[in-house]
Amino acid sequence: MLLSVEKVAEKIKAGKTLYLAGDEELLKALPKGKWIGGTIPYFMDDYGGKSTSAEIFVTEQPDYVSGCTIKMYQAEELENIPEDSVENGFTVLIIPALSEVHIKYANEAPEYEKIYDRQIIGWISGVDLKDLGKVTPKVINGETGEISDKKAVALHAELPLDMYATIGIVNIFKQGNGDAIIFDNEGFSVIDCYIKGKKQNFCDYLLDNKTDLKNPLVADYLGALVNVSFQSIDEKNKTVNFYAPVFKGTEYKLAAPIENYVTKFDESIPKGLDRIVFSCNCILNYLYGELEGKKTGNITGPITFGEIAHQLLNQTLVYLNIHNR
Amino acid sequence: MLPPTTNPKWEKLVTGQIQANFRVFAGNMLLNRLSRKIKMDNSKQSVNDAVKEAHEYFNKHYAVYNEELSKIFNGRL
Repeated sequence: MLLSVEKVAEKIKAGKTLYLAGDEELLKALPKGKWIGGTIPYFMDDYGGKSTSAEIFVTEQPDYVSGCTIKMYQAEELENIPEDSVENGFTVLIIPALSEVHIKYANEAPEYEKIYDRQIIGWISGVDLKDLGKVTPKVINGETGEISDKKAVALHAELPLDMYATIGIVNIFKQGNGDAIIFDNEGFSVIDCYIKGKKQNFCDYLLDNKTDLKNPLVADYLGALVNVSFQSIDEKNKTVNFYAPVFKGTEYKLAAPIENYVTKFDESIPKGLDRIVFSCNCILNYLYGELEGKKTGNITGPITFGEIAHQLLNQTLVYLNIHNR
Repeated sequence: MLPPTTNPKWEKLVTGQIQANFRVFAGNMLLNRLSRKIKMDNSKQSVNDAVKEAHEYFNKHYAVYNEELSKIFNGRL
């Protein structure tokens, strides 16, 4: 829920453990305590999508969580996150966008030991789109007051033995009927691709086909559909830039277009999710789906520059749900 | 209880010959990672290692995947 700085400060002083999202100045004004935060001014609140720099989005950690620790991670320490994550618990991870930790986690997390064994959920912090390039996205360790645009912050939570957590994703995109596209390099930008075995410039391919870049590339990972969103096309340098890395040898297809994002989310969000601890959705879904003032089921949370469900995702709603054994 | 690693469906799962479509994303991602490893090295040892890793993973997370794995191993997939 969105709350004023004063209300959030009251919760911190009352000893609540909080996962926060909001404007940098608001987060800096909070007292120290058991909380982590990231910068962003876009949210999905109970009343619909909203952009504000006057309130903080608060996710309160449930009281049944039996313990938690907060830790900051530099780029070379990221691979320790799954090991640090509690076996019967979950981790809420926030990474500042456009940083070395963002790029490293995006590229390498799928290969980390135990990455799919531990419940690591989170988001990429951002800024107001009008401030892109002027202000850096940040994360904050509320326990120490450390604020950083270079480190990730994680809260590792432990659950009682009679409970367990799972991470779900809602990807409203499906692969379209177009060409299978393969890249022979990995990363956030590419020059060439292979289509039907023939090498060609990917920028030219997208332009020649008048591709709508609002629709991501979609890879089918044995039934799990994972998006890579387009950031820009650099026609001069014949380069295509993404918000997440593409992986070498993986087969991608352009997504089928979405007519109505709200309807699609309503249809796609599983029923009976009554113990969601944390969730977030993508800024591109918010923008392209024109979600300001509109609801996506009953799921609320920050609207982010990238979603983390074990690994980095794009244009995807992610949530952490708790179950009894 | 999960079928033993000698059940041939384990090999089909880790090589992508059976698509599981788990409701929980992590299971698919783990199988995808194992299948990519096998594409790079399809020796018997590599397949056996992948089957062992998958078996350990799904045994540990039995409560999460039990229902869907039952359908696979009971022959409905």
